Amino acid sequence: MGKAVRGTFICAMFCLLPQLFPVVFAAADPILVVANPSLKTQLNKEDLKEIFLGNKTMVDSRRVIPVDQARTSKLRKEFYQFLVGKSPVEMNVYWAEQIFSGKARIPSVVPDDQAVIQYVSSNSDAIGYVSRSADTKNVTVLMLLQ
Amino acid sequence: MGRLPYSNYQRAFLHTLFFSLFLFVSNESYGVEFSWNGFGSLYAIQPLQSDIYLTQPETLGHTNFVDGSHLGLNVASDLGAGWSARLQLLASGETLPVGSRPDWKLTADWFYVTYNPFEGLKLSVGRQIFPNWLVSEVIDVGFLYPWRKPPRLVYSIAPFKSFNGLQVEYRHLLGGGLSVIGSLFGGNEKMSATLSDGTEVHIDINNLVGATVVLEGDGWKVRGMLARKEEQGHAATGLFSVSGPIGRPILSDNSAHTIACTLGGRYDKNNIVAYAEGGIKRGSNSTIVANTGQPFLHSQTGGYGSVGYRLGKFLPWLMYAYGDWTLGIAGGNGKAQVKSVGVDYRLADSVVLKAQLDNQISENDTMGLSRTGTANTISVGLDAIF
Repeated sequence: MGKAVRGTFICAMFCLLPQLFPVVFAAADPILVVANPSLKTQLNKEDLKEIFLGNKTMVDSRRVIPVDQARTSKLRKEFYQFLVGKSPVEMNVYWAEQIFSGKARIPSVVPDDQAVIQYVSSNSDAIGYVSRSADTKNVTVLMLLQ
Repeated sequence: MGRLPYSNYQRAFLHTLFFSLFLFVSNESYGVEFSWNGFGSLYAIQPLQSDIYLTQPETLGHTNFVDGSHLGLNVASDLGAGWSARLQLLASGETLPVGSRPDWKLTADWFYVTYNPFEGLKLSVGRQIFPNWLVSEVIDVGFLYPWRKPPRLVYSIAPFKSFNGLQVEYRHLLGGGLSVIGSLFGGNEKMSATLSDGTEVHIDINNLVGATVVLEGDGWKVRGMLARKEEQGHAATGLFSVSGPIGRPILSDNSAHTIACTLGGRYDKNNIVAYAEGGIKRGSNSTIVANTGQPFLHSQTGGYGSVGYRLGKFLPWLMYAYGDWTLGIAGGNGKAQVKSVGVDYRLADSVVLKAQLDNQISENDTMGLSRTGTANTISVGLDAIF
């Protein structure tokens, strides 16, 4: 009886783990980091993180403008969780502090992949992120986050 | 002639109207884009005993909605070629002596232009935040810290929050998520203080110079500041008992100065939210207030520690703060400590509900930070950003 209870408990914990630690267990799809074709540069994850946190505004002596997806977007949640390790609520607090302390301006927000591609292809300094299924023929893929 | 009740509402409305018109014309005529963000707090503060003290509205003996409530607007604009501009307006309750009608005032805490010649370097000119403390830059955005307000006993070491002048800031990324930020600043400020006898004193703060160093990483920050300023006071209302007629300088020496130093850190990671900060201010002893034998500038030390733990949407926390001061103008020393306990509840992504209980014990207070003895208050309110 004791073993059965323990077995049930262990099974229940295994079932609960993905709920408790969703990030670790999430089967995240790859995310493409895209830029305007005129922005020919090599970025690493640290550079990308600083750009999307508003700390880095220049790459190779050239200005970069990050563009975000909608606040409710699943991709945005996965992007920041992967890149910065912060949840949407934590990112909201982070940006509030940046804005109200005058340190940085929040990135422009567009609704979806298609809008990111359109924004990036028409703005020479823009850099954004889209899902793998997005049509990227008018932009340059700088990095694959996986 | 008595003041009109709530007259500042009209002034605040007119200022806001003119400012909105200015933004609209700039946007329509010159294509300048603005980004708008706002914050607000709404609090009710109830003393748990009937004792009162003149300059602390929390202890007026009845529920107070004015002291903790305010509404702010932050406007930023990218002007191109490395230039940007920023303005922050704040409509807040005015701290007035007992018997006065509560009123509201509209102030521009910030109004400055920044030039960013290259990555990491910023030169700012105009009215800007005095970077005295960890929370100085967001001092009115209650959404961003656990308490209703930063502890008055400690933050009163810097009795003003903005100055007019210049600031140079350099941020260097060290890699691995670490960065170091250094800044130099200088300028002037004018401020008013109401003494416990109701006398209003205007103080000119001149030749303010200082420096800050900040080291920050993922979820933590350590900072220090050193500043020096010169001060000269004038009695503005009534007869100031130690100075003479209205407007007459109360100092015999213009070189009176204070030196202030603060050091603090914040940790917000792994559900732990902790703050610790301390400050010390020393006034020059050489300057004596006319006819009193008292030094004009006071010395003050203070510190606090706060720790909380996030439990889902809840953040229960504890804080201990103390202050110790000698006051030049009215003479006398003071000492106080505050023990606070509170809980925050995140109602939505941008709204936090807070409840806080404060127990303050003061000795020999002459500064108006609290009544002498024990003062207990409970406060409940909302902080939001939009």
